[in-house]
Amino acid sequence: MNNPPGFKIKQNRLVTWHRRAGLTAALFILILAITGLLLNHTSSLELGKHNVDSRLLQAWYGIELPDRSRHFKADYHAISQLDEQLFINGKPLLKQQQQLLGVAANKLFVALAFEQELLLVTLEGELIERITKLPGPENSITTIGQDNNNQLALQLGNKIFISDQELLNWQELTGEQNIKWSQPIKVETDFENQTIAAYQNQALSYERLLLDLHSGRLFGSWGPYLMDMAAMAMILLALSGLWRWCQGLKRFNT
Amino acid sequence: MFLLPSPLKSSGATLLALVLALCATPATARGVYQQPTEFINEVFGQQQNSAKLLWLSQQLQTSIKQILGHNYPTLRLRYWQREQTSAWILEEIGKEKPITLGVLINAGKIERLSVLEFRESRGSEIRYPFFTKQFYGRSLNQNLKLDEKIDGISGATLSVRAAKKLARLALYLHQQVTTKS
Repeated sequence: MNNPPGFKIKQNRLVTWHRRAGLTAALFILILAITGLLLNHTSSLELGKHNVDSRLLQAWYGIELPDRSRHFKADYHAISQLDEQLFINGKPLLKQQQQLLGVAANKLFVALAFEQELLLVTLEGELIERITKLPGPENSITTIGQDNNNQLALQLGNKIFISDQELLNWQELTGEQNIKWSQPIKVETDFENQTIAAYQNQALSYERLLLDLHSGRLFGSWGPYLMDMAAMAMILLALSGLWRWCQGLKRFNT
Repeated sequence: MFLLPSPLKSSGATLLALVLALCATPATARGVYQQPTEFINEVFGQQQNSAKLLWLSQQLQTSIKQILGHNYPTLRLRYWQREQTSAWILEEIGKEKPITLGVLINAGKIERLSVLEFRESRGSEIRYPFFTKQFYGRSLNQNLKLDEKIDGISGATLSVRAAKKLARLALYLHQQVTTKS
């Protein structure tokens, strides 16, 4: 078969551009494909639950130091709140918007008092219960403490209540009280730094990192356009490859 | 002034009203509809028994996982019981935030199901009686599923799913505490 004049030159140009586009887009296509694969299995890989422990990436994201931190001690356990994140002995616990007012602990659990609720956690940091039904007519906790028998006490307004062992029933205390109320403490610098590092690690999950890598947002405001171009290059590669294959097939048949 | 023929004017007004109504819906979706204490007082009356505690053992959590698809987030639950009747305040995430439901079970069948607090921006239609009444009289079969189908609500799929899971969980927990006692 006779090709029209200039056909071979056009063919060669297409091959050259096909190769160039392929080489240029290769890195981005690899990023898109690998991150896409991983993101498809976010739940099973628990990407949202694991955090990136890299100071460089945290600095890139502008993850800052916490605005506020409070530390309490109860029965040899240190409970901290850095912004909304709670920690038990430096290990992340859960998030709570309300400010931590105090803590009390016995051999079974640690009780964390907030204005509107009481959180019970195990010494390992598992959530036992979130108690929102507070005793008395006043519905805001002022502080938490323990009596000589290790019974938990709450102050709501000007009333003081003492609980049973399981925190099911509360009794109002009148008369003489011998309660040690929980107070914020100052912790050692090493412990403070360790908690801050744990706080910063909490801020960036692998899921967030992969999503930003996939969309290109990790590379700044031009990143998404870069990924758009990589996606367009992929479309062009597919089309030019298909076209070349069709041409080859036509020549083979004639 | 731009004049429209009157049929178009009226349809334009209807369309505007519809758009405004649709825009207003998400703002009214979130809310506390009933406090847990009020729900318990309502279903048991003022002379209710005090709350009891159910510790969620590994064995219980295994069945709970079969119902919810995950473990219950706390290690113990409060419930109220009088003979064969028990009341439960349970939470499950709809799309992103937990939905709080109050469920009353009598002799293994749901007698009352109320949405106490809804925190999501969409799907609060599950609080209406046309939906909740479908659960009344429903019980649990051997596969830990409801014995009859519950009709969904379009646009509230995840909230409906959460409500069905919690209904099954309440029935299952009722079985546990009534067989135990």
